[in-house]
Amino acid sequence: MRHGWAGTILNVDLSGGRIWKEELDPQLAESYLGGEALGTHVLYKRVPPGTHPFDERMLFILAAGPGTGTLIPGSGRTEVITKSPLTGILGDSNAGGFFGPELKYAGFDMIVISGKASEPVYLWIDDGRVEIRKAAHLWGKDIWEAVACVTDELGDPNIQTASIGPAGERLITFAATMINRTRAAGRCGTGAVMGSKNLKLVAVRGSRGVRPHDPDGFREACWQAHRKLRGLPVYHAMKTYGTPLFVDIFQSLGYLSVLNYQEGQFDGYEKINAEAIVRALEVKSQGCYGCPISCSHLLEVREGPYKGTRTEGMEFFTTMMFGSMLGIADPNFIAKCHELCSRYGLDVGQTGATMAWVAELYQRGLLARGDLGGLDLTWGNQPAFMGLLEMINRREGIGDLLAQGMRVAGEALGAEAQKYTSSILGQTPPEDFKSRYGVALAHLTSTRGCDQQKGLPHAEIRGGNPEVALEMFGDRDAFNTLVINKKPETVRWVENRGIIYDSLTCCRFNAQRLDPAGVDLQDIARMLTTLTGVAYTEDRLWDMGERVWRLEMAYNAREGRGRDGFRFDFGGDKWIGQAHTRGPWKGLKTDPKLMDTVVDNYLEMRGFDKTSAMPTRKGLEDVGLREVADDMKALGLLVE
Amino acid sequence: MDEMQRRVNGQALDTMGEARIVVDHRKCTGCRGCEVICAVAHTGECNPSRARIHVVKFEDMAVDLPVMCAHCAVPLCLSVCPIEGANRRDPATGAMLVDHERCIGCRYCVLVCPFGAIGLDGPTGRIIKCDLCDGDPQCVRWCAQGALTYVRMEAIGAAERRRAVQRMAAALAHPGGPVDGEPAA
Repeated sequence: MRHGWAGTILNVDLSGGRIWKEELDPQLAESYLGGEALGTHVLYKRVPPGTHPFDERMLFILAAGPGTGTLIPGSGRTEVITKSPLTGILGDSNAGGFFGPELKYAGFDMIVISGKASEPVYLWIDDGRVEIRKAAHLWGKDIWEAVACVTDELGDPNIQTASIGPAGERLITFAATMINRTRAAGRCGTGAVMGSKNLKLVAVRGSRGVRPHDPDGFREACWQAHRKLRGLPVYHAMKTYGTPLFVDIFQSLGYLSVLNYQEGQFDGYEKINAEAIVRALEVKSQGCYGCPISCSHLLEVREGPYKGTRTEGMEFFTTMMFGSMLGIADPNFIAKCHELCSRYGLDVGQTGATMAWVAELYQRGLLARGDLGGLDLTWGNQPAFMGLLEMINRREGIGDLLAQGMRVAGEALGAEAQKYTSSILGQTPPEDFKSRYGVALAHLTSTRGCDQQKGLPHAEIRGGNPEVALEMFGDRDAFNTLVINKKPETVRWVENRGIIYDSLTCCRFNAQRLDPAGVDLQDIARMLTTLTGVAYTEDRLWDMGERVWRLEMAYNAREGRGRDGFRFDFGGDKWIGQAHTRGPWKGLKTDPKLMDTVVDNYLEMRGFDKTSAMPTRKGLEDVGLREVADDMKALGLLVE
Repeated sequence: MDEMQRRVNGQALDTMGEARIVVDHRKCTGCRGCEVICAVAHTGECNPSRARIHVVKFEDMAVDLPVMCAHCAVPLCLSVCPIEGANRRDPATGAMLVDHERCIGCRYCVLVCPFGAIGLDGPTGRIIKCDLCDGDPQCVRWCAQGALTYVRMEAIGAAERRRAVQRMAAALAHPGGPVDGEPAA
């Protein structure tokens, strides 16, 4: 095997209790790196079309990449890949922490888990020795209890874990796979797939190393990347505050997510912004494996009803979802919700946005206390929202319906309730994207359903410079959020890079997510070439991003994502029919015709048919996916 | 200090003038970047288990503390070493070094080190410990948090002293005014 990769895939069939090691094909490794790209390739090849996420044949994949566990800044990510029970398409999510590096040190690039155990089990990987162990005593325990129990049982404080909490056990469609104690692969409900396999936890410990092809060259290339990061002003701000930094920015721009996206500004924002959180709660900064930024923070509630709560890694997303979205200007409450989601293994985003939706239905009289187990979901009522969170986690009362995702719940609650849904393919967005075409496009085209991580055009958020827009995309309005010019291109710029980060794996905050002047594809190519001995260039990486993105789109088309899968759920009245009543975005709505046009343009740019959203032969063959084109043709899903 | 005075029987017992790695536990985020660069610098491999520095983490308590050889003034590792010259002090940096030509790998030094700062390298079976990278410790260079610093011996403690009296200084400068800064531990 080439340098960089561990060179082995670990296969586990939980139905038969079979464990076997497979050599990672060097050619495949070279073309797909690892993480998201390689995981998607395996999922596409090995799972029959139309397989239900909870079917025994579904694969649950935990993946590292060639860069994982090395000197590449932020190379501690773990990628989780399966099919999402929430969206019905590709379910991929990644998290920081220390699991991915340890997996590499144990000698594996990837764990591919199939089947279903007849009773709860956990997997113990100890430097190449692999064992399926009984987990009846762990079932029902929350993440923190389970991790402590296994660490104690195996007698090694340095083991790293991926696990599910009660939410995953109960197959809640937005259950997270939790890495270590608080790092969530939160989106897409991957934790429920783990739960459907009766798999509670994966523990790993390793002592093998990753030996670079050219150790001195690699060290120098990584040092340059570290130095580059340290020179960015945003790097220091992220270190001090983490992502809650964006509360103030979004408030001033008028698109903070507020009261289920009814408004874009929140009066209490100063009580939940980064300054306030750090002042009220900060204990100290925490870092994922090898991260020079260390944007995470350990927080402790010092007063009030939630006193004593300690949690870590509270992001901007959490701050909005349990703060401004619920009309609650109390960092203590947000921290408590974050702690509960970490322990239960729930996606903070979907949980908060679902509660906000229910609260708007309550506000409009579409749901009453009787429907909500007696809860008075008036905006700002902390105990009531805490109660709803518990009902979702236990699947009690309306919580059972909400646990099935926004599409299922919307169907059940009827047309009026559907007007206030925010989802795409059942998944809720972090951001309010009314009349923000590039941002909305990124949410619509994400290969894992409604989400900003994949393609959010950063320059547009920052209100990018028209001169730079002209230089980069040939149009002064490319970063103008109110028009559709060049939006497919600006979104693709981010999406193709994201594939590389998540396949390496490395954190996008250590790349160009925060600042285009950060670690770019050239820097990555330099690090990757010296690491692996394979000649990577900026162009080769970009092409890889394009190919893998089209593969993911083809996978989604195969699993049933048609043109309507690129539209807002239930007609999207929240975005096209409703507007803020105040602030800079007052009165602005998304024009559905413009939105459809920009999605059409996007599909064509990616080589897909704009009417059916199915792949074209040329679109796949152009990026070297002839075999996929043939597969799609055999299924009657190819446009010639 | 002159060079002659620093050496007593070939071992530097009085180590003034040298530098040591100082840990600021408040700044350490537990990222373990120091372990990786240490392993790369010494073995060419990204492999924390071969590092000479280890971050001991108590995640639930938010305590992260990098542990490495303190190069003690009274080194127990040297006291128990049965082989003459297998443990010695580097006259240039003051680092306690293992001479692998002489070391028999008996692990007595591992046994007595009060910090567990001495380890065994899996692939080679050799005793491994911090060697201060010949006076340019790579963990210090790569620690982006500034949690590790390389401080001349006589300056060790100065930063802590300054921090300790910071509040008092503010109170003296502005009697009755608001007091900023960290309280003493």
